[in-house]
Amino acid sequence: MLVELGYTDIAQGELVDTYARSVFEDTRRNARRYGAMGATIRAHKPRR
Amino acid sequence: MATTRAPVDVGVLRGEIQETYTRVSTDQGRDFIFPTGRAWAEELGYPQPELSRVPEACVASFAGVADPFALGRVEPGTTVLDLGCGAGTDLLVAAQMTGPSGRAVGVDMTEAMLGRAHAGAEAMGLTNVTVHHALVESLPLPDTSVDVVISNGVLDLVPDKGAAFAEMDRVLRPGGRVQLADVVIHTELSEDARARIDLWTG
Repeated sequence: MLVELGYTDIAQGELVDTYARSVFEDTRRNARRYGAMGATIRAHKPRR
Repeated sequence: MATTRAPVDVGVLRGEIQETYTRVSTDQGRDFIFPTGRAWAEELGYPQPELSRVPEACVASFAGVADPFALGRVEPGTTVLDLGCGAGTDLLVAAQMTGPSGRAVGVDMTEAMLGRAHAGAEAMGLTNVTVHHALVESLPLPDTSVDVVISNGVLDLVPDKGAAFAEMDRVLRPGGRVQLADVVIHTELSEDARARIDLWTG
């Protein structure tokens, strides 16, 4: 969506295995199943 | 940007999200399906000393998925918008970074969380923080009034992501930036999975 909006200088940070810290096994299992990870992204709005 | 339709009842989804995050705010000792609290924020590498100054009443409800400040600090004097600010950990970290010449604006749909964020700002003596009870798809802010948009674990919960991104773009000034932390998935979801509320809220 950021690309669709024309945002530039898009950078992604390191992935974090957030749900591996869940105390619930079914949450950890669902996260593994769907490859769910915490992520960061930075992008700049064009100056037009 | 076109709106995007979620394969769930939006009213039910918002109700479930509000219920879950009200519990995160009011029952801080409870185990949730996602990690919470100061130890988790520290493990993510949140900036210090800013994190250490945020009151425990706020950080205990921290439920972020990553650290949006890992991609850069907020510059002094800027206006920062925290989409889905929750109990205010990211908002109050950003407010310290931008300082008294800047502004930190938080928006959230869960009133119990906003109450903690507001009380936290008062406890810290921060006068550059405002919070709004609103949806991220309908922001109560003027066009091009924000320098930096941050968010943490919120956009994945928004049913109409097209509307949320359009609003974010509307309020962000040209040349401004977003620093988002959120959940990504590496598997294409089936329609059945997309319709499961528990996967949205978990």
